[in-house]
Amino acid sequence: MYQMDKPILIMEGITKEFPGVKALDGVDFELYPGEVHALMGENGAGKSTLMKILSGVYQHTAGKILLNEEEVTLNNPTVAQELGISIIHQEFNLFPNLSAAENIFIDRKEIISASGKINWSRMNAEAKALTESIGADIDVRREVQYLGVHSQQVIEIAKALSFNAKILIMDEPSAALPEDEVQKMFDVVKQLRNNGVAIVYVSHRMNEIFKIADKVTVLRDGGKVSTNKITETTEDQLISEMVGKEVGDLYPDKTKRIFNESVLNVNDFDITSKHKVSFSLRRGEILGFFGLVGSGTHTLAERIFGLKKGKGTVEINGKSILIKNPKDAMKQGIAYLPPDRHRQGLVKESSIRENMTLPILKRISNGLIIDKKAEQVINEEYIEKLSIKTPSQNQVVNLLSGGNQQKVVLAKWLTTKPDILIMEEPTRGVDVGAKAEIYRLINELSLSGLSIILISTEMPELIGMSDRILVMNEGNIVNEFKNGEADQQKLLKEASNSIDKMVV
Amino acid sequence: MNLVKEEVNTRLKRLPSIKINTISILVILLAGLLIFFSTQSPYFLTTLNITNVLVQVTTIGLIAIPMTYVIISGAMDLSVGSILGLSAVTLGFLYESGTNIWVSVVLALVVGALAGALNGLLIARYKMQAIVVTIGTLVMLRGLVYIITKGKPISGYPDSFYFLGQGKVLGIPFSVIVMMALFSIAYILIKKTRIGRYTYALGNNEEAVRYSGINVVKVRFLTFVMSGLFAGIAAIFYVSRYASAQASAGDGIELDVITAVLIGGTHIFGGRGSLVGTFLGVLIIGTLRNGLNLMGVSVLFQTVILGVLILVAVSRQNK
Repeated sequence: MYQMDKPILIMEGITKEFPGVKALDGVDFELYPGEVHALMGENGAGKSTLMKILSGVYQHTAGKILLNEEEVTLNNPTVAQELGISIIHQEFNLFPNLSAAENIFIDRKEIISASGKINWSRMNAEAKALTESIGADIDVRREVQYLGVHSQQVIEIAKALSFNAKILIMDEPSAALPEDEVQKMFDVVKQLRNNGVAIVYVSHRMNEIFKIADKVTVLRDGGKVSTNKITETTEDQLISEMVGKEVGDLYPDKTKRIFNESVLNVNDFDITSKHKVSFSLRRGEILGFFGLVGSGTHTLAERIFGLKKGKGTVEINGKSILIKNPKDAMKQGIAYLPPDRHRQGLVKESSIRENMTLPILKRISNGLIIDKKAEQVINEEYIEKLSIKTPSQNQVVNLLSGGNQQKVVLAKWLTTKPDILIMEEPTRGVDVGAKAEIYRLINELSLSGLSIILISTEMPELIGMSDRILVMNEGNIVNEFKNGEADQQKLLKEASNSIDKMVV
Repeated sequence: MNLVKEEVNTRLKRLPSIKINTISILVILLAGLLIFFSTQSPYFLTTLNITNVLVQVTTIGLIAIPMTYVIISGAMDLSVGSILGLSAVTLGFLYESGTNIWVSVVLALVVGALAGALNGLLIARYKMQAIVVTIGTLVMLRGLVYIITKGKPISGYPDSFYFLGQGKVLGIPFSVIVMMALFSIAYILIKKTRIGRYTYALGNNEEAVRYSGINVVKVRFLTFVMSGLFAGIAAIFYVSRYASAQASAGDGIELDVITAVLIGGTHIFGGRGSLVGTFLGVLIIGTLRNGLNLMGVSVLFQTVILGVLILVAVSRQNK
């Protein structure tokens, strides 16, 4: 069917100019059948522009695209799809109230008979065959809303395969998946590779790239930096290629850290009515929490910050405090950086200025009137402190990059001058450069005496940043790792232990 | 996903200019109406008529003030007409049964605020849909109004009470002065205080406001209490002006109010809007009604024209 040694796709000198900007400048990209080719680069490096050109959304201004050694013009996404190029977006485009099979074959003439009737049995059988071809077992008659995220991704992939996809672009495929389903996704990708599909794997996550990719291409500022076999490069090399300079160590030096008294004591704190946790946090400490989705880490954070109702007192600086709502928590110097900045962290239609002071408006008001001057001064201070890149504090947050948006959320909580900062997924969806900056900030903050609870599903981040890591599993704290004791395998094992038992 | 983001971005980049445009378009529209009607009727631009228009719009204008807040915060209040009716007949009923007129006025305001509080409780605290709740109270309170009055208008108030709706200060109707004063206060509140910030933020992303440690239930509750209270204020002026509290007082007024707010550029889904726009929207509706009356256009046709105006206002919001 296909020859492994001949590229299925050659993109040559691809250039894309938007009015005033050159998004891509002479990029070459080759793709072979049966390979997983990772595409990396910071936000704005040109990854998505290149993939949009390949999937027919944008047209390049110079260069050419060869498919099986023939030049093609990809005018629109339909043409690309018919030529066997499909894209799986980060967010799925499925109809939750239709069955898996219906989603796969939506708007497809093949399953409609001459009289205009849908051939249900054929549709369901073909949908089943498609999902099985990638090693997935899904009830294709079930409505998509009742299927898990992994199954939804499989449906998206099956939909692409139903168009006979030879090239599959996967945009951050693990972003939507809970940690324990990432492995299943890898299995699907491997199966696709064995079936001869060429996969472009767009991701920020280093450990995934090294697990799944055969080759990796790095883009920076609209140009190609390198293409390497995965075995011939290293994480450090990739990072410096992406950033364009040596980042140095992503994580700070943790050897010189000292902690004194504990600032927060949590005793028999309800996660659910059955599960209680106890732990303590010391001044200046970065306490990591690891757990899979549903393990209780998120609930713990929301409960301590008073967002969820329930019993439970915490001891802050030796005093027993009942927290009923976020206001109570904030009064005690607790701040909470939520995991989803789009939904929970920011009012994206508003300016940086308005976002940053949202929690402290009362403090900076003279009577009723907001002190504009004080607000500006605070904004200037934190824009500088966190080096938020923006033309002005009146910039609408939506126009900032992911990293800068995340810094605005962080700044917003720092303006409350917290003693205890709970951070959940502080670097989700930001590029490596911004990540390094955020890590540097977190470290500086902790050195200046801020106590931090760091909840993350990104294990390298947890291991790199935390002084201690607590692992949660099904509403309990199951283990504690001191600095230097934890590695990814141990963490994952502790976090998924009893869940495995349940499956067996 | 990025595509969507870029679309949003370009839309947002255009946002400031849209805002300026809305206000300037409204000013031009109003000026155009004034010029057009003045050519149609020599009476139109007289002081008497202008005063007349201003007095006529006080009812809509007063209620449109909190309605702007309610809609910007991402909600809706359809019950304002019925609350107006309830406050009006409460006033009449209490006075008729021997209560002091000013005590009756205060209690009528309290009843308005309480009706708003009921809406607020169900919507903010119990998370029920604003449209559904206020349709419910719209029907329920109007029923209550007919029970209280048994369908008969209540009239015959002391002269001092008529000052509110009919008196003048320095030649300007008192009700107009009150409306302008309340518009100014509301303008300052939404522009310069945290109440305004919360209102806009609530309409854009309620979840993020909640995660910022702000009591969203309280903020939303207060917007509905204000809505009820202002419907009560409008009721007092209404009874004073017409010297009678009828069961049909304020019937259907919610549509005029919402029309004014939408014409004023406030976004139906919240997050965007302005009180200056609402004020101009109120004036445009008043001018249009008055001018068409002077031209002898039937009330039925006026309704058609207002309907078209709503469609034009809302079609601009889809961009």
